[in-house]
Amino acid sequence: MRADSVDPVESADAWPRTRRPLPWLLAAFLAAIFLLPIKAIHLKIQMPVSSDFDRFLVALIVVAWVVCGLVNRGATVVRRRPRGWAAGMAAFVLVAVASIALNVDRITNLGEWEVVQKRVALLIALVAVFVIVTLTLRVAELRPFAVLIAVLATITALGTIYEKKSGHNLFYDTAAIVLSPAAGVDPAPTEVDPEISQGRPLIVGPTRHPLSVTSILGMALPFAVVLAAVAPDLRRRLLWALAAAIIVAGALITQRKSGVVIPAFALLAMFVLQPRLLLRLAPYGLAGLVLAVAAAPGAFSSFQELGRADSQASVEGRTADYPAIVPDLLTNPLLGRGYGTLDATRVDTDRIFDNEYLGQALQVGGLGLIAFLALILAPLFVVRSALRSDSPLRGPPALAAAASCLAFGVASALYDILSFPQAPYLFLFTAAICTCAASEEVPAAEPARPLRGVRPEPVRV
Amino acid sequence: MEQARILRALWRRRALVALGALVALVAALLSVNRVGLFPPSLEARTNVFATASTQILVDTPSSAFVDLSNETEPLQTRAGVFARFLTSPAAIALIAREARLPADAIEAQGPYEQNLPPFQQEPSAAQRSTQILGEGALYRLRFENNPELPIVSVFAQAPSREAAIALAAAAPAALRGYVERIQERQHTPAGRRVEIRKLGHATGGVVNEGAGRQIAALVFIVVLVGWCLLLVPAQTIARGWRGEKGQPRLGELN
Repeated sequence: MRADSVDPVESADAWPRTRRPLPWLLAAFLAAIFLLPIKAIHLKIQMPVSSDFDRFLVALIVVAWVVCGLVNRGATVVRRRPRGWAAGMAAFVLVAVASIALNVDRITNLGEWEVVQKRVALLIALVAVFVIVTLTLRVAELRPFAVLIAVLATITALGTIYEKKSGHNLFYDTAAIVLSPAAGVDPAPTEVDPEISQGRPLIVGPTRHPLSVTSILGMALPFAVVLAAVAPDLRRRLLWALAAAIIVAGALITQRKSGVVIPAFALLAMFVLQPRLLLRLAPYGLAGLVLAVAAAPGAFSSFQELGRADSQASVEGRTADYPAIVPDLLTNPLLGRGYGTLDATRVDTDRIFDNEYLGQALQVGGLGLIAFLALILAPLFVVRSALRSDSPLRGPPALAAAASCLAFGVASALYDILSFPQAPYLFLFTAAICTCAASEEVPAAEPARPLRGVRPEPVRV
Repeated sequence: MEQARILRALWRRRALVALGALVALVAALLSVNRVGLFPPSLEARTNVFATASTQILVDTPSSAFVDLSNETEPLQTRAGVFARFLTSPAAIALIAREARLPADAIEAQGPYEQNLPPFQQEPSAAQRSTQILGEGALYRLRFENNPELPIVSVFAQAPSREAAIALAAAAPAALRGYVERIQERQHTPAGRRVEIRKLGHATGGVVNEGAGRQIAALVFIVVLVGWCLLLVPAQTIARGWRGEKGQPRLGELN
């Protein structure tokens, strides 16, 4: 078998050449993450739990998953997933709920249940996305989904660049027009040229905060880079390299330090995981950098941000969080004061932590922090055997998804990332890609292997 | 499809799933109740509470707000001072007497200045330590002060609506009594006396009714799902221990 050949078991009935509704719904969900201001869209119809648009989409996916499971009984493929694929997620959810159960008196006495309820609803939505994507995606679908992520991120980056240049947020404006019969859309928080007293510009793309759009672009960058690296001809390689350059420009134009840090760490993660692959693209990267500096020096304003006075104040704010968290940590060292109790609107009692790890330590304690780290690192352990796979279906998407998960881990140290849903949804999508890349698929009729365990084996080429 | 196979696998082990449901039920009950053994009792851990609010206006005897020639700035300064006083132990004792509650059951916080940027309002470690000490109190008062208005906002929390309204109403009454006693003692002329007025009656209602049920339901679902997830590796280990072969592992179905 040639190195670029594809196992017919893996490629049969794969998205986008499939009538299975779930992969199409998942693609639509990805498009919503990158193109719609999901946090700002509020449905005009009342839902049982929440009228937020992302919860509605997740509920739709869950219903479709259940219905498909009941209707389609004859599966053609059996998937063997690697051991422990859900361990990180399960540990985090268990610790989160335990922290709530043990702090019930405090949470209800301080009237925090309403906020906790919303955070738990988001956590359940995240779990649902992770589980359903993991159980639904096929190995042959990973590459098309990698392409989709890279294309969507390129569109997001272009829209963000346009937002910076024109002051108009296309994502919010378009969503407000298109969804007007069914949903209301909050106005865009875009502020391209604010007064000095108002702080730094707010270039947010489809999100509510510049750091959030920077995160999703940084997490999507590995997909464009990997596609460039494995492109079969020069034309496609150049096109994917251009897409990667646009994604980097979109992240940089938000004028946040994270616009430099997150993409840089995503590339560094790829270099550590697969140095040869990235070195192949080094000449394109250097040429692109020189061209970008020559053509649009303003795009690199993130670097100037490092020395600005209000940027230094942001650093001081971050360091001030450390001593301020000590009383809460000492009061509840193991399970914290309860998942979801950190309420950014109660500024007199709660600090806005520019670091998700600190926020988790406060809310779910030391055990929760370990579980949160496990949640981020578990996909990397799961996917490690698929990273160097020669299969074009597994190796490249696995590498991109692993680097994306690491980028999420870095972004978590830069702001309260779970407060903005896009990046967590994308993280769990890429974590699911890691699990799928490490899974084995066999025809359902073929007797399953005996007990030796699911050592995920790459397709032989 | 996978979900049908998972359900079938769980149905085959329905006795263990039923045991899991029992464990989840116990966990749910324990999460929202305190259990006493001698004598056997079940006491709710969740606090249904009510809130009420009112506002205190610091004014002049002839009301500065109906006469355009009056400056309100001195009154704003006084409102700030009174807001600070209201969180002091002396003021809490007066409020407790007005509301007919024990003073040590009341926790007062503030004054929080409105219109400040968040980073100036965020609590330091010392402030947070004080807040943590008072988090267990059932009767809570919170004062907010807008530096541009001679008004102190009072927010009260108590286990019932009536108690919350009584606590909120007690704050302006206690402050008025305190200020009037000082004015009497100092023989302050009637025309130069500060007037403490209550802006309307305290209003409120029950806030988190049903929280206990929701928390118990959440715990039940998560424990049951966790139990079902644990059945998978447990079954694999058990089968490995017995040396069974030739059958797909449950782990393959999850």
